[in-house]
Amino acid sequence: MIERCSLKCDAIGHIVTASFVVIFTGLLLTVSSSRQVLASDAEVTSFFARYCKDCHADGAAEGGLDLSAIGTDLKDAATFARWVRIYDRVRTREMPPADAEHPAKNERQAFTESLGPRLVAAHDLSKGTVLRRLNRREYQNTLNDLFGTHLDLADMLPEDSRSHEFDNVGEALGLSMVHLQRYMDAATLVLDTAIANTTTAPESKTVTASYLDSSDADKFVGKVWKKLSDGAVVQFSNRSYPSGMIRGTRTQKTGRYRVTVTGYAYQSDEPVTFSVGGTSFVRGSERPTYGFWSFPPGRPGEKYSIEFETWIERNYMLAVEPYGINDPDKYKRKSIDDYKGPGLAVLHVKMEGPLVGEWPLPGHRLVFGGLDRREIEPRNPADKKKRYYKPQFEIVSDDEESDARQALMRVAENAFRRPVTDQDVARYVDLFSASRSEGSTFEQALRTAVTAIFCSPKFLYLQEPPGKLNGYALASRLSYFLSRTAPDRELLELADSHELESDAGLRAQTERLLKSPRFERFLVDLTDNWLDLRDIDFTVPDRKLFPEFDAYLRYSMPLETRSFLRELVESNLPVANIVKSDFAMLNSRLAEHYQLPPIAGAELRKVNLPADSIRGGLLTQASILKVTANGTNTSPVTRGAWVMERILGSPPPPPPPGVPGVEPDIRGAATLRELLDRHRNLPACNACHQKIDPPGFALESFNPIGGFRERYRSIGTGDKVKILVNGRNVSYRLGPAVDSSGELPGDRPFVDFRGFREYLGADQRLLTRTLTEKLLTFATGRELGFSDRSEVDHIVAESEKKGFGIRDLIHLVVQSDVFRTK
Amino acid sequence: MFRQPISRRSFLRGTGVAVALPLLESTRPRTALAAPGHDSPRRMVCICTNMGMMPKYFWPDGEGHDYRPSEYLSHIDTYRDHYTVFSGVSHPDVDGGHHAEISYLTAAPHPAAGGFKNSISLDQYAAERIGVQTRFPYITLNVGAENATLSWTASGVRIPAARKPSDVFKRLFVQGNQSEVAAQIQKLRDGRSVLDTVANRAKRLERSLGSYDREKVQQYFQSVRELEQRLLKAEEWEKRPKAHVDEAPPIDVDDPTELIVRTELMMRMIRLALETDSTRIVALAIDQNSNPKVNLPGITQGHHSLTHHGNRNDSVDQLKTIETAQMKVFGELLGGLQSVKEGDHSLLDRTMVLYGSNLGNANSHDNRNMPMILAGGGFKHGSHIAFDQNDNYPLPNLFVSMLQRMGIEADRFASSTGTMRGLEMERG
Repeated sequence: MIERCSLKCDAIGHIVTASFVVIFTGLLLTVSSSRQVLASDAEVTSFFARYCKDCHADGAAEGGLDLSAIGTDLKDAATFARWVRIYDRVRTREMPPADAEHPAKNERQAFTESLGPRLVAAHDLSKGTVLRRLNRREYQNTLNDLFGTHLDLADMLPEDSRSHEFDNVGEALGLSMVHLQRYMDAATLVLDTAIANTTTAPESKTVTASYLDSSDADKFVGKVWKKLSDGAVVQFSNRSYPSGMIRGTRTQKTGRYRVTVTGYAYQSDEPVTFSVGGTSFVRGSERPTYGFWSFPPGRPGEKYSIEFETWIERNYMLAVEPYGINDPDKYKRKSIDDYKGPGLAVLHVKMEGPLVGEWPLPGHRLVFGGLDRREIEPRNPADKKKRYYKPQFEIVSDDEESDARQALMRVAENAFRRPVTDQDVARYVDLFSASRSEGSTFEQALRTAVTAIFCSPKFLYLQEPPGKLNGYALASRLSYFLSRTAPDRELLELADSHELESDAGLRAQTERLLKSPRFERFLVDLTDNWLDLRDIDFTVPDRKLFPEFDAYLRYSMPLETRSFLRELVESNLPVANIVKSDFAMLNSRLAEHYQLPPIAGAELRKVNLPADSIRGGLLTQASILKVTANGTNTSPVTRGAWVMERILGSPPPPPPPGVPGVEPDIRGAATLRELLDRHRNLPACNACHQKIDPPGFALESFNPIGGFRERYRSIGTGDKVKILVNGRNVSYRLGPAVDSSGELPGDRPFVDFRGFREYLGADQRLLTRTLTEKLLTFATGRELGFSDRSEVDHIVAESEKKGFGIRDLIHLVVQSDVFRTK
Repeated sequence: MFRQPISRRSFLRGTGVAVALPLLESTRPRTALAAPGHDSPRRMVCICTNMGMMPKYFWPDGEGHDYRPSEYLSHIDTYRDHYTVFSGVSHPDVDGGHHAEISYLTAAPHPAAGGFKNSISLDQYAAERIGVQTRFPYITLNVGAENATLSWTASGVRIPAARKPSDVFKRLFVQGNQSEVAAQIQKLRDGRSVLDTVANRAKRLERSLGSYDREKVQQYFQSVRELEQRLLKAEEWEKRPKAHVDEAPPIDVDDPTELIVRTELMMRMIRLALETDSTRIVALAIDQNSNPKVNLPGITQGHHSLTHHGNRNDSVDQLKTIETAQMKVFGELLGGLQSVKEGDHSLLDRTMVLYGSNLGNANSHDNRNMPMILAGGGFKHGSHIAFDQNDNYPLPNLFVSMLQRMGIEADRFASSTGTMRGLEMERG
């Protein structure tokens, strides 16, 4: 057998070598302009001929790779990716496989040193990257911040395409006439909203309402509600009827409202948590939850308040509903007065709005600043007193074109995120004049020109000329990275004085933006992208299997992850915390869900975890465990692939064509792991699955909503359990035991998640590398590639010197060449 | 704090901004329907219900003309001679479970992979070629999630679908008064001036850029030009009266649990649009990802959750109730189209209706073995064309057959290898 094989190799060896020479001549030509000194092709061709061709040439194409047909045009993304994969698998000693002849160390090195520079050169050429269009959220933030509006513009635009998990990568962000049409509509909406159409600031109304104001009081007080001596009304149950709707809060206008709820926890030693939401009688209307809060214990005479601002639509009422308390006998008794259980006492709800804030809005001043805009006197002055009088306005100007030019320069400077010249706005002034001469009013003509500015490429695309970024481009990049919006005045001033381009200047501004309230947007968008939190509602957990999943838990999930990352940044904690931390950000619901010592209240706070707790780190957070499951069951493959891509930074290749999915079965007979084992044991599958599956096995300890489990829940066979959720018996049963053991490549076995976590946490460089790549991708709007590897290496090494702190890492990312050049 | 975004719906209500795009007008006058000696036009309707259909209730027994209808197909067996059911078909290299819904009409490979870019969808491909013949080159609709759509531009950009039947009706049939028409024309002209201005900016920018960036500017430039053309045509149409129908405008049902009622309403709009020749190309995405609990007897769980049934009897039964109702509504659409006569033909004879799902098996998220039906439109129907369940036949071949039936000269679409084997056109 061996003899036959070696004979065959000899027989075709030369032919194969010859064809490789041709391949590599082509490769050489492709990148010959590069400054790299190229090693001889001989290393690569002889390496292939000796170690690879048995399985990967001359008709043999194991794993889908045929070296004689892989192409040489490195400008082609797919060809390039194949060569990078070959490079990586040889470098990491994955290939040739363990049971084949192995190259000596110096042969391997010669191979990578020969191929590497060519790949760097090819990638360098391709990454001069593309004009990056603002994505939907960036567009929305930019306009809202500039005009002082709170409009949901993102929903008006087509959803952005993603590159891997990121939706702000220039390459993937296409533009079509659909966009342009919607940009025009959005600009119209923003202008309509921002431009004042009254002569005085609209009034904001304040309403104070109580449950006692409506007929609900007659129906429920004394039965399920209790009226206290201070006028507070107590609800004792979170059941849906009667709801906590307060009729007196019905809104007459859509807008932003400030809501204050006043009350206390009644007959309770613990705080009582409650939700505030919106409700409407319109059938099928959405019922938003604005948030969860808690009142401390109190008694008549005491009171506590919570306050928040939110957008509320017309004809909505507020509903205040207690969470987690229960009055099981409420329909059985005549009077509520004897009941001694905990309740939520609400004195009143105050609603102020629609909030006016600045009037007129910044956008009004942006467009009309310095112009003489007057109300047109109605023919009959008495009209002004009429209820439905709507003032008309006109702009009075001695030199229209000059006035318009001034206004348009101001708008353009803000829209283009840099100073503009007369020439830059000349065409918009022309548009104004043309529109005016066709009979539009000054205001209408100005609006048309402003709309054009906000549909122009200089607004829609980030202007980043190749090479080192100038101050303005840097200001935009930094601002869109950390604040997700256009640079503010301070950044633009520092761009102007070139201070931003200095290391110290850049560092100081990074610090400032990390502390800005807008940094919350970074946390939301980064977690939505990198960790898939935007998909948190993609599936709804099966109610029978996971009856404990409720609105409060769902509400707390993404908050935990965002506040966890905020804590890592603010306290500059080491990257290893991503997989293992000795603290968690919790509220009462999460602590309960994680079976940790109870804490009170809905506010998230830092809690030290007991030694050896299975929680801590991102991977054990309910949000992540939910987005990596489908609401009913978990797949080690799905979760394993997710961990590889998001945490370990090596996305697994897609499954080969023709492999059917495994059909889950939750009747309790076989676990998904057992079903998968049948496939995995095939050698062709095992090459990848030995890497993909182990992280997924470890995470089998967590169910689809992030609860810890030792046995799978099942509907069907299994043991009955006596567990009450919300006062009701659960109907699921306990099926087979969970096996969360596995083995990571490199002979690293683990018995459960804790063991797995140790391995991961020990490789802090790897975790830092992945996080660096994710941050750089998110910051620059392009996928990193081969030629960025050395800069990433550098960042990781520097980070290590500084102790892997995440705040330091963000600074290293911002200071890096990858960030500062294009 | 929990910022509650307001929905686009409410904005549109509140501000009167008309979002024009899903329904864009084009130039030529409406052709007379089935004038003596002329054939009535050919149409195409493409529908995807994105939660799949349970294989065991969908696939028929036996092949060819003698197949025995499955439980689901029995509900549309009345139209047996007017449709073909395909098995063992799927889009080559289209995988990724739910992600595959974006490739339903495009067949773009690996929709879940990094660097994925979508390509043009079947409806848009046809609309680019024959869309000028009607007031609306195409209509793209959805029932369900706000961002669901089957329609994609050549540059891989999602074309938002219209969601409200009343909006569709209004844009198709409700004639504005004189001042509204004048305002609309003014708006279209302003729009064109804006585009003209920004196009010039883009030209200047283009000169200063490298080749990769130039591609992006060209995409921008092309978008501007296309929209300018569309707005120009829209202006011409604006001056002509819209088609008239006797039916009352629909009343929207916003309740997400009313899957069936909402589907019915949209299908009525489809029939009206085709009947009046307002458009010849319609796409409809039925998207249940958001998991509404469908309002039908016995349904206790969300539709999406039910598809992850894990073969649990109770869930399977509930899902069957929903899918059966969906199948019956589809049958009603066929019935509606058949009841409209155009000369010697029925509207169904002149309309290809593609109905199916991106999921072959939702429980395992399998994208192979897509359930597919093609009804009407001038093919020899009445059979079950079966291919290999393990080695699927390329579905894009069916798209090529449909394009050719529309009279479009196309010999390939996406990963097609030819026309649909075993599917023959009727003469005429």
